[in-house]
Amino acid sequence: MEITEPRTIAAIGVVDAHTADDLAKALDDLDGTADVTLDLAGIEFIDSSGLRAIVTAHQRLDAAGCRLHLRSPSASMRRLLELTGLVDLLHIEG
Amino acid sequence: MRRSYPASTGALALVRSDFDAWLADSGVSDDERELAVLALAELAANAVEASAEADFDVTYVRLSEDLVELVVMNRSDGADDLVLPAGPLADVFAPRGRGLAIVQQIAESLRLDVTERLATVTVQLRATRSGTTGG
Repeated sequence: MEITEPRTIAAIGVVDAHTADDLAKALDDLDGTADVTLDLAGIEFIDSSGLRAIVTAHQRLDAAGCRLHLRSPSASMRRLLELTGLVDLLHIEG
Repeated sequence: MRRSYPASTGALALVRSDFDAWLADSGVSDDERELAVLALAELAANAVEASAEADFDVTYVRLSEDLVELVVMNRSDGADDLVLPAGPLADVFAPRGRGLAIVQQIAESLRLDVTERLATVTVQLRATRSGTTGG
């Protein structure tokens, strides 16, 4: 993971059961005092382990009155979000 | 094609790439390969989680010009909590169970067999053959 600007995280490469904890930790390290943007453009593959990390962060920030913005999901990731019914519930941009 | 993999999350990339290469060899389109590989990824991740330190087995075979069957089998101690979701995506924010729900969405059919020693998941996936280079 790369923190490219304040409150923005760029997820890169593969997010599966082997690596999802890295994403979860990067998101968890950002407190719930302001919105967070997760740039997804660099993700090559993501499965439900990665979605779990995103959903957990979404819920934590939502409870704190903030938003997790998902920026630039690929077509395949968008399809995964549609398959899981999350596409209409998460805050997706681009 | 039958292969065994170590029950390690570090093996998941190889599981995916092996299957992707096998599908590509028979000319399956990018779209269908992507979904089929995602289905296997979810099943393999479940198998890794349930297998303790034992290997798990992945078998795939072409059934027809547009269908492949995928079987993922792992040793079970009988405490395996692998169950089909009651309804597809009944709770999209549920912390667990999303993987099998995804497979349920992708697969043409899905069957679970859980015994005291083995957990076996069999799915049929759309993977249309194009060309005749493999199979």
